[in-house]
Amino acid sequence: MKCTNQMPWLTLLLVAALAGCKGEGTLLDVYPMEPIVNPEVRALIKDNRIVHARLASRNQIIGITEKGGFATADRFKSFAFEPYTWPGGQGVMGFGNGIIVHATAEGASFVLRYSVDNGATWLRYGGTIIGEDDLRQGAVQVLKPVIGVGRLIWLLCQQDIGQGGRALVYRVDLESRSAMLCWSKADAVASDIDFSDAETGWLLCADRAGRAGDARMLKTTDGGLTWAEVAVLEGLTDPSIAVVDANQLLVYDRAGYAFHSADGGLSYTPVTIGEGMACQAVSAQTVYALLADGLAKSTDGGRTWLTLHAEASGVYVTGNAMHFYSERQGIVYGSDRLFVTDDGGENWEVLVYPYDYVFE
Amino acid sequence: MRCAPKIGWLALVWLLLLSTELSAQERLPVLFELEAGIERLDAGAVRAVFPAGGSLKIGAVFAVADQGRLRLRPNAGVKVFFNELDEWTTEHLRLIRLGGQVSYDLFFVGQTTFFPYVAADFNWVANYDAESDGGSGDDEQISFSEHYLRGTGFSQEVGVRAQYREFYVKLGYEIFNPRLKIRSAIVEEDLAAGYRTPRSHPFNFNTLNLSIGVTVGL
Repeated sequence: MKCTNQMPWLTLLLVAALAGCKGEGTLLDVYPMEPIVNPEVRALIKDNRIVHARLASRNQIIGITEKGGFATADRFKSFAFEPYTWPGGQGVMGFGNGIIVHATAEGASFVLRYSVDNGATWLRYGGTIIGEDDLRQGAVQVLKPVIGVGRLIWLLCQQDIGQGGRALVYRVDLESRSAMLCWSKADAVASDIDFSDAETGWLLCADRAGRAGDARMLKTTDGGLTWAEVAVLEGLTDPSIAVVDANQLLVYDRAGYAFHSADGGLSYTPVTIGEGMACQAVSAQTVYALLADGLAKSTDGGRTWLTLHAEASGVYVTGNAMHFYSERQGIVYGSDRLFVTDDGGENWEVLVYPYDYVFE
Repeated sequence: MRCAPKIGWLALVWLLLLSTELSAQERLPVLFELEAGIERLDAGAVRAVFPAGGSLKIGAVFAVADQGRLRLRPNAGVKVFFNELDEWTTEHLRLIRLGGQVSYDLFFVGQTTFFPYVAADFNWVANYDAESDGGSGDDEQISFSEHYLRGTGFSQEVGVRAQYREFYVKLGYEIFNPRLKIRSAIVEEDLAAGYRTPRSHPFNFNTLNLSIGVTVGL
């Protein structure tokens, strides 16, 4: 029994010796964890920003940053980045039908450039768009280019004339290098323009002297050559158009006021979507709206809307643009982030995000 | 290979039942054992974190069959690995265990008897930090963090012990691969930082251990 008394001392000695053990790191360092996004995406957002992206197929995402173009076929597990010089942050851009259009002011007029290779190379439209007589009246700026099939481009423009101004629509054919002024309205402020096909389109403008919030809806059925006023909408500030199909369209502003038309723009029904939206119709039934704080979805052409709980790995899905490839697959992106869904917005995956480790 | 631990446990239970049966028929020699040891983790990744650990075990020994050469020992114990993070903070990996050991008096050389043994334990594992307030002696206050990792699991051990009078030395190898759960808050923190962390993960805590002990008659 005498020896038993020595055991606590031995133990204490042992514990004292072990207490001095200094390891490398902690056990949590051995615990597995994997980065949610590929850190290599820093090429897209570090000292750079995403300008445009689109889901080109089920897995292929193609886009442009200020410093080059990118493409991935495996959700950014790997991606190609081709550096090139972006024509500049000034001006307005349009995307569609494989063409990128960039219009920048040059003197009283503007320069129209376009790219057919995802921004790698740019061509300058060499023809005359604005006649000299028109230019003498005042500077013309492009508000929005709309790209149709067959390299046809409509340019919604605004011209300042003294204290007043007018709204204009030019139609530019890149193929035949021809352009024409197809519509103008004096003392009007243009808001938006969109087309459902090569022939049918809608245009929103407001009278300078008219009641604040009134927006005039015009429609063309001959590719923009002639326009007819079809409705006047009230209570909208700088409204936008989202064409669902040849008969359905949505008109909305950033404050959250929205209207739906099911008869080609003749009559409208107020709808509730949310604030700060941009809409994209994927089919005659499915329309998505990018809100200031998330997304909304309509499955009846924009008549009724459901707010989506859009979250990916603990991050709310936010951005300033979206592109849906199909009714179920699409992306939402901003200058430093990109999310993808495969199930119509129910679940999201974050592919690009400014996590700290991305910048390290 | 997965049935080996089960067989070990069944054998242990059988032997414990046997000892109970025997105790009803005749008075069993009952001894008491206390042992302390040092532990070395086998897997390099975890050994880098915890270079060494210590263990304590206590149990009653029943000398049963074959003229008391077969010995059964239900026991309780604790095993702790230390990792000094800074002057005041030490990371602990603590295993509280309950189980049993079966050993057999196989042969002797001089006054030293050699006992091969097998043991099995159920372990409660916790990983946490212990932080000292900087005091010393009785004035030192130690606070413990919430558990980072915790879990349970069975371990099996084989080895040999050499007994000289009431003292013995044990050398054994323990197989222990528990699946530990991480604290939910850590998963959430990782997620916010952009990392995906699984809720649980299996660890290789196999150890080589060397113990010294004492056997005392009651």
